[in-house]
Amino acid sequence: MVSLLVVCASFELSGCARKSAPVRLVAMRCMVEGPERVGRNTITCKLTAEDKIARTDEALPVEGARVTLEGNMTHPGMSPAFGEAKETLPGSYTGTLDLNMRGDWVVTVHVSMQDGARLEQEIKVQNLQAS
Amino acid sequence: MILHGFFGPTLAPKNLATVLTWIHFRGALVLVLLCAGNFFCLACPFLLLRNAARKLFKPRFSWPRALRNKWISVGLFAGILFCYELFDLWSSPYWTAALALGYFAAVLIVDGLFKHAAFCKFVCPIGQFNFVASTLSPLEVKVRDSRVCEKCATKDCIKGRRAEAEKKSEFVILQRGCELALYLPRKVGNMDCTFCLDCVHACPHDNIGVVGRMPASELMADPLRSGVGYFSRRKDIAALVIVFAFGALVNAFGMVRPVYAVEAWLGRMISTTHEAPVLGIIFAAFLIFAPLVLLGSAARMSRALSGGRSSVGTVAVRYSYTLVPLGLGMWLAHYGFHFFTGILTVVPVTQAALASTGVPILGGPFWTWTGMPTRFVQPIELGFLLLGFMGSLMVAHQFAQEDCAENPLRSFAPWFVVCAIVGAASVWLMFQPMEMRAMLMGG
Ligand code: SF4
Ligand code: SF4
Repeated sequence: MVSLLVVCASFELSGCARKSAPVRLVAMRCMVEGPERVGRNTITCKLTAEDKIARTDEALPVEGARVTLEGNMTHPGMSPAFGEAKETLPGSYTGTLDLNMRGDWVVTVHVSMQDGARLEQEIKVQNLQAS
Repeated sequence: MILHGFFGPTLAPKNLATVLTWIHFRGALVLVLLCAGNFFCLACPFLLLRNAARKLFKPRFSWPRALRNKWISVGLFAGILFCYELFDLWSSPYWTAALALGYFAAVLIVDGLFKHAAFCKFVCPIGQFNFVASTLSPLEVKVRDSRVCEKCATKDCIKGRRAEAEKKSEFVILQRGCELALYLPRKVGNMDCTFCLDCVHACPHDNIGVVGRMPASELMADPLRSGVGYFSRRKDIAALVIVFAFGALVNAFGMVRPVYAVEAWLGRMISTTHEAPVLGIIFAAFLIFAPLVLLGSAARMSRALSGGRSSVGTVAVRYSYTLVPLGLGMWLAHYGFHFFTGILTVVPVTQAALASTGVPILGGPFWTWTGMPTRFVQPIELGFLLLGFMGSLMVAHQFAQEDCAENPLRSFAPWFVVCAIVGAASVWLMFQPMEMRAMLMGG
């Protein structure tokens, strides 16, 4: 199982001036549900945000994002795999990806949030084996 | 391509440096060598830079006599194969670009210091690969009519044409002759020929052309070759052929499943979790131990069976050239696989590279564009291996006929066994499950 945490600030831009509200710290925690095997693998992604202006320490789920999945082998020239993760619980996204060959893979999770902000995270899946 | 390697995406399938180098360049190279000739040396980008640099400064030294052989390039060839596995070069755009840059630097240093084409002839591992493989090509640069050469007074094909410079002691080169020291009237085959066509332009009688011939014919004869000598006396070229043939096996072995079990086992045996010593043992087994055992025993046996008087070493050197077709067959099967299955990947990677620079003129990127399905490519791979096997048998049989005209099978039988072992190993490797991953020692 591989999990990664990404924290990024999401700004809203208006005209030529940067408005300070809302400023959010978005946390992205993605993982390939283990054990990873050649074939369909389930990838889950949790998106949460903290509003730094309101100074609420409570992490709120980021809802309504579009989450797409992409799997590439580390060797060039191989077929990539594509998939989409659906929101199964507020802020929690699940999808599958067909990693169809033994070896090292990199799963890239692309997130587009409703406010237009984009996030991307790579998950390394090393030494994928057949079940 | 180099800029994209350094500054583009770090993921190898999305970077032009890795995609072009490890999928398209390698694949196209072996296919062009098989179907035409050494045209990649003709279009070598490293030489463009060298030729431009030579307009600014002139090399002063002659390449040292002791190094006028292939030993440096044999070492570099094996070294590059070793580094490819050790540093997983295929998965690193940065190191792929650094390798290309290092190559440019090496060309500039060697050819900046030494006259003629010292880098091509004595150093460049890619060039040596091309020279060996092009012995099987259907085209060669050759004199059209040897009678014209007999009457020729200038020999411009080797000397080139010069004019006096303002300073009387210096000359301006109007047209280079063969910088690889191949004197065309006595040139035989493609060994050491970069297809630069300098000789074609230099010959005042338009007596040189790119002509067709039977592939592998130059391997079946052993005349005195200009700039090369006798193949049968060149241990360094024989070593190059061995690295070419067995290197093809070890390079493919690095990508299939059993290698990881072997690595883990070797790691336990020598109590190490470092990859370098384990890989070193595997390379030594493939490039030194296996050739010594196979060629040594076959040479001993064929000598005994045919009653020949040549030493075992001489027989082994001579027959080592039979491995060239098998080697090329394996390189074709391996690189051809990546080329055909990934041929379209250059399209989305180029689209994405252009888009990242703000000029998305090609649209896309169409990431689903890859290439031919594996099931269609596997029969092609098998065809290459079979072609290589048949070619090697033909060369070995020709040698055997020369060695023992009354009963060539006596000389041929041991070499048939060698070809069968190498051929079977190639087929076995090709059909192993592929695992494209970095080595995980202790895993
Ligand atoms: S190839 Fe041309 S330049 Fe060279 S010897 Fe023959 S005729 Fe002369
Ligand atoms: S000058 Fe002619 S013979 Fe010499 S390397 Fe170039 S093409 Fe080959």
